Amino acid sequence: MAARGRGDLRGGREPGGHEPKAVQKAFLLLEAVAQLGSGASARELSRLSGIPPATAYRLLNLLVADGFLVRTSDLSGFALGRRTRELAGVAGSGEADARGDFRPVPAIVEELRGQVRFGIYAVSYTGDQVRLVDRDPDHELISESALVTHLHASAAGKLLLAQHPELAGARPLRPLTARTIVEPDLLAAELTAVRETGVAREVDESRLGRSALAVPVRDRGGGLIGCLVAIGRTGRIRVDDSHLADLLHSYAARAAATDHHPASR
Amino acid sequence: MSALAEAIARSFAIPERPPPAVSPLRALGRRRLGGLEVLAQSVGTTGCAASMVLLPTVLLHYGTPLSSALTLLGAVLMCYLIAVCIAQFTRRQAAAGGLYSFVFQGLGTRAALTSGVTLLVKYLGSASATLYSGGQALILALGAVGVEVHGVFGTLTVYLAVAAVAAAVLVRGVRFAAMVMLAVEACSLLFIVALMLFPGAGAGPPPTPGTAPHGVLHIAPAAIFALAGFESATFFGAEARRPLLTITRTVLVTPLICGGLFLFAAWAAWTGRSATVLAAATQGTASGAPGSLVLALNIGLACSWLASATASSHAASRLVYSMAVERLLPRYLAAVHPRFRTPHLALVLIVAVMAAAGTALAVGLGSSREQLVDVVRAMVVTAYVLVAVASVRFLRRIGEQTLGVALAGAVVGVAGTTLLGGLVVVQWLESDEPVAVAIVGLLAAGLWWRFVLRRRRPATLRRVGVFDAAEPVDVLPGAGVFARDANGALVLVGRPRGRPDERRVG
Repeated sequence: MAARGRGDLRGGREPGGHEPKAVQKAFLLLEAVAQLGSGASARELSRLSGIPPATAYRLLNLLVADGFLVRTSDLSGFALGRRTRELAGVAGSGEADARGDFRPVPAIVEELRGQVRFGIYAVSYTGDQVRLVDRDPDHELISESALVTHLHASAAGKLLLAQHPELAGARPLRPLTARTIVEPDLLAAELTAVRETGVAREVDESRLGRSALAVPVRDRGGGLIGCLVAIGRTGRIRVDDSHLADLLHSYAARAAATDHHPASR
Repeated sequence: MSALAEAIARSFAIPERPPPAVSPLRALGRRRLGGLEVLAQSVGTTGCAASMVLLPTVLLHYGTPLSSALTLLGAVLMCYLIAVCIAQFTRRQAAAGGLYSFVFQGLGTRAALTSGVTLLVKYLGSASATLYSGGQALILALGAVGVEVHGVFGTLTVYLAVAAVAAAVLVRGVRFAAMVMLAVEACSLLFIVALMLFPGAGAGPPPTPGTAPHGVLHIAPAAIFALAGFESATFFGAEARRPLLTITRTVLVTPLICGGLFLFAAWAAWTGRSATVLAAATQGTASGAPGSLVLALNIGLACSWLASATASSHAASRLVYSMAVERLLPRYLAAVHPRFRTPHLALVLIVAVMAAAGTALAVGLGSSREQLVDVVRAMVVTAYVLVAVASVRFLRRIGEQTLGVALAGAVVGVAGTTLLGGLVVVQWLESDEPVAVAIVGLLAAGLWWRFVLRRRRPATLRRVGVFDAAEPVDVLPGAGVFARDANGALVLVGRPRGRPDERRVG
């Protein structure tokens, strides 16, 4: 369900809209949960969406199994799960397919570089793709392939994982250094902290001696489209520097506002 | 803008300050087991490689080729219906208490504690009996390679060594344990299947059908109990990745896999292919089978039985852990190893009890094995009946009942109750009163336990039924309401009821 559902919702091979029936019904059920609010029962959802009970129960169980819905503590009601955020583009603007890379106006990034002593990089997230869209010419390079394959080891990767934990995949996490977080529970706690603070950090996790701070860039619908990362030598850059975080946040907001990206206009 | 899009957009606007609602099963190593490892737990518990050798001897004695095949199919169907009932729970909640937690959801604490006692006796009893059989096969295999095990001291050494290995494997980590069981069970299955397909001494003549009366009455329970244990994956809901899918699939598929293997074994028996193997299993080298074949067979049987004993104690440990989290059992049994994330104290206790009982069987009480197995069978039937009835009640409570599940529940309920009554009556008629008394006593024990708890510690009963509940991190910010339940824990609830301690996520 997960792979097929996501492929169909996002890939949209036929933009005219001949989605498989099950996906349409799944959307109807999600919409019904959103309308009725937390605690709606399966029978109420079946009635509101017009889907026959047996089919509705089956789909609801699949949606719960994949994290799009959660059951209340007495198991009789449903609420929207965090994974519904992945549908943000589809449910909101409908432009997820047309979405290109996030591209900050170069002048804004240059201005930010002028204010700090660290390397500043801009990263774009499209679906599950991670791309370096603006590299800092004056500082050590970070490798795009290492960033993409080991999301758990970098600040930019953790920011994406915080939003889409399923991208971590089923394989055991690989340690790049002795400080890389590979314990699933520790990573989950770290991602919770990222969600709470809106800032992702790494200290010696992707390479010894390197630390970084990343803040999200969001489009107007709230969807995560990229991030700004400040990278420096461990000890020189302080990852708990709230001034630096605030500075990055303010430039992230400006970068989002001036982005050439269709979904944010 | 649709309500869904609005909810999603709103979720981004809310700064996240999640309330500290934490799943009660948080301490276990969560989301570690993949689909194959969960399957290994269930298939391992059934010990189906050993059953492939033992079940055909029953078939040959009591049945004909046709009656064997039909009865086996019937037994698989019966277990599949039980699995359908269990799947109603595994699709909706992930628990560490397995059937015990499920029965609570449908029938409340009285039935839950009854099923808790029956499941504990079932898994401990199965583990002890298979440890005993596995140890015996291991001693025979050791003897064949020149390591003679003599006397009480030698037997004790073998059993304690096996138990120590089992404890070490289980404490080391849930994934490691599942991989070891998978490897051992796969080896024993390969051994047994190969021995049946390629008998060294050539196939014997097709055997003549058995003439013993009431054949089906003997074959059907034997087949059903050979499949029992397929539900043991349900104790690992909190530790499996995508538990609502993998545990459900495992519970539904295990009876079919094992049933297929049994049909293969029946075919091999009735065509005479496995005649040498079956003779070697019952009479050893005295049957005229070559020593190497007897050795290979004993290694295969020992692997299957010892994997089954390990898997049974694995499941029992999670039941004990779950009850300790609910404070029905002492709190220290809910301790989780800081590094391996396994309930190590519960595991050590369970393995110690299994080792004590298995060793006692080996050094003198071997004749009681049959009685122990009879008690275990009554326990497992009780648990199945309770979970079948609970599934129907549970679906009605949450308003998701369907005709199919109601039918499955009714069939399992009626057939299971009949079988249970039959077991008790047969024990009584065969003047094995102690077994009948033990069965009735154990069934009453759960009720008595609840009676005591209700008078002494009524608060404990409100904690029964813990499962891996939704945490704020699972819920779309702003889309769920967390409130305190009767125990004071923050849980996701239905519509806001305006209580002061309710907090929106975020």
